[in-house]
Amino acid sequence: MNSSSSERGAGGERIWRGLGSVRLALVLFLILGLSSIVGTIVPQGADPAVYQRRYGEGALKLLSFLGLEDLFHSWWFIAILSLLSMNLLICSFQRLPSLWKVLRAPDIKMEPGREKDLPFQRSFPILAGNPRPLVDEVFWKKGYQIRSEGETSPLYLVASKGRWSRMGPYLVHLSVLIVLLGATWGALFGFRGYLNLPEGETADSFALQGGKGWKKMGFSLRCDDFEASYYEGTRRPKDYRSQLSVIEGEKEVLTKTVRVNDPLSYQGINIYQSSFGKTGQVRSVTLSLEDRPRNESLQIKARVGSPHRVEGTDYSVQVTRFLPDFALDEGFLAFSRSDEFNNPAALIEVRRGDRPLLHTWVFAKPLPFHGMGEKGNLHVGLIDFEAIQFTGLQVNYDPGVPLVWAGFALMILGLMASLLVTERRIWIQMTGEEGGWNLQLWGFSRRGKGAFEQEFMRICTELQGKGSILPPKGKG
Amino acid sequence: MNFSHLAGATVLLYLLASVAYISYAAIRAPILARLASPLTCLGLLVQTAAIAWRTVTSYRLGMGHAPFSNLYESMVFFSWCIALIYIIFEWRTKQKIFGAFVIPFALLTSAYAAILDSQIEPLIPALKSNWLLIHVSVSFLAYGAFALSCGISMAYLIKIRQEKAETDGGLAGLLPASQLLDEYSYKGIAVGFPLLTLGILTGAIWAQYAWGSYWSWDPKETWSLIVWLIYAGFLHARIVGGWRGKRTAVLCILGFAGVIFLYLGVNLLLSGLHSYN
Repeated sequence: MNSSSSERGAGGERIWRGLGSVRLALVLFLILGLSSIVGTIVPQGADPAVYQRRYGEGALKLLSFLGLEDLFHSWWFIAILSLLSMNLLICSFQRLPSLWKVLRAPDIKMEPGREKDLPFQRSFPILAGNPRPLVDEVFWKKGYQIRSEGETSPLYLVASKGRWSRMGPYLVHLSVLIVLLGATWGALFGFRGYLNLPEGETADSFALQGGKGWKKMGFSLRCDDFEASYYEGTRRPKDYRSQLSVIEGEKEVLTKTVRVNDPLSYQGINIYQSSFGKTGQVRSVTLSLEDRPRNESLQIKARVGSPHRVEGTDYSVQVTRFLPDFALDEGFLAFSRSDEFNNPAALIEVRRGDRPLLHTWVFAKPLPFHGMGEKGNLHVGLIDFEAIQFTGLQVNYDPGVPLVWAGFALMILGLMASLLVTERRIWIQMTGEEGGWNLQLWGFSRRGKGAFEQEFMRICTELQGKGSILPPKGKG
Repeated sequence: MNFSHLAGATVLLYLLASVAYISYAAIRAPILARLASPLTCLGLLVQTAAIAWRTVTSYRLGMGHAPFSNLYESMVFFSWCIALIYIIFEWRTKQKIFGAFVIPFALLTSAYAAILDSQIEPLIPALKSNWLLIHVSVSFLAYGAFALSCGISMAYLIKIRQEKAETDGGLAGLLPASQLLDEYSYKGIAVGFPLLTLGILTGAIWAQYAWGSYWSWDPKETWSLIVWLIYAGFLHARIVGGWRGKRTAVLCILGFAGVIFLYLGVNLLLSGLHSYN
């Protein structure tokens, strides 16, 4: 039946309008805002034990069901963002016709009855033969575009500028969509993880975030050197940087010093300096060798692993093992309690020529019963060591970033258009004839009425002033 | 004359200005209003000198940085932004009555800063970036504009109550018509919102270069989005939805409450990248 189909049509029309409405947008803002607040109060991405401790067993089940421990990536949060995107799209689509109407050349004549609404009006005579060139010149100088209708009196003109500021909200909405698109693209096709790379070592894969396993980078990365500098007299890092080399096959392709705020970029993958730490391993140790009776003592620096010939003697020293936090387990075997240098110890072997002299642990911190390696007159002590640090790197690939940047730029442009540029329009009616014209002007400004009043007055004054001088005969 | 003298003088001047503005609102003697503005300007000048001094000193100590790297410095800068934006507003609108609603914010923030630890500290490597300068300064200018709008909205609520009761006395009598108040508060947000947007965007760009992620739902980032949504909601409700009056005034005040939580609550109560703890 006709009525029911038109009812359905009207119902559908209402839904369509609702989907693109500001009301829906406001509701979605509210839901988005409230959900986000929850997401800042409930710890995100933490161990289940953390939630259990804070909220109890029962609440933990509820939390998991709602996906609150990773709220911002939960299905319903993404659904809200999708709804918002849809609302933006539909709203833009619905308002496109009226935007087009505004951007298109403005109507030359005002809507009837509008004259009384416009706060700025002036009327004055012009003595010129043909006021058009004067009008064109004055308005052009102030940045207006003129359209006119008619050849003889009454002539209608409209001068307008800044119409494109109406595009502002559109550009902002479009930019939000582009940013969301870029974020989605990056989430779908990008990856992120971390890599702790000790100095001197090379790695070709990194650990994906979220414990999702290891991923190959497609090239090898070597940490040539890591350095941390501290503010004088403190342990606060002033600067830390790593020199990294990218190796493809056998060749060193790229070398760069990476620091915080200055990443390395290769094949779209970005590597960021994030942190650093001690591996608990050392590159070399410094030992003291004392020949007690003779009161001679030497300090030698030996790399871990290879035997070191002591110059001027026939001693050779080899550091076979190093433990940062030495302890003995139940079977009296040596192990390290941690990676911290709490009780550094080196297992050394001293030979004289071919004869093994000493094979023992030496400690940096003297123990009450045992500190140095001793054999007869020979005393060996551990004085210092060069710790090997690792550099904490973030590995990241996000193909959506260019889109997001484009969205940001568009957003700034849109905001500037909305707020820095203002739409102004001045309607002109010219009546009369050669030598005796009368101009009437009506002015409209969307914003900044005070400033516009000044501009309007200046235009009128200039027109009136220049228009009161009759041009010489034969011109005009 | 050293830095703490300048900082103390700032608080004193803002205190005198606040007293002048509030007394003016109470007893309506024009002399008080005429005193209050120069006091505020002087306070702003002294505060500018203090900030400049601190910046120069930090460079001399070998840890030079722009003066907003920790809670103390950002609080001082916030206070400065509030005073600056208010001065500009008072100059443009020639209305002195709003000082009673806005300058106390400048006083509170500068006074709170004065009791914080003000030792100049070196920057952690993550803060060593030019993006720091633009991200923080733009954000705090936005906060200043929102503080102004909040103050005006509070004035609005007082005014409409008086207009309904149709009385004329007291503080409300000094305030311009409620419609004008509504306009002013809207203009404040029209200034603050793009600044806030710029602050969020520069923060995201900086985060991408420092940590490889332009948005990681860090509590600070998330709260800046929440505040952004509140003010975006305000703009939509007003421009398209035709909201006026009490509803928008309340939204405006709510927005500033969000700003305070964004600035202080997140850093002090929650943990994350922006934590001061």
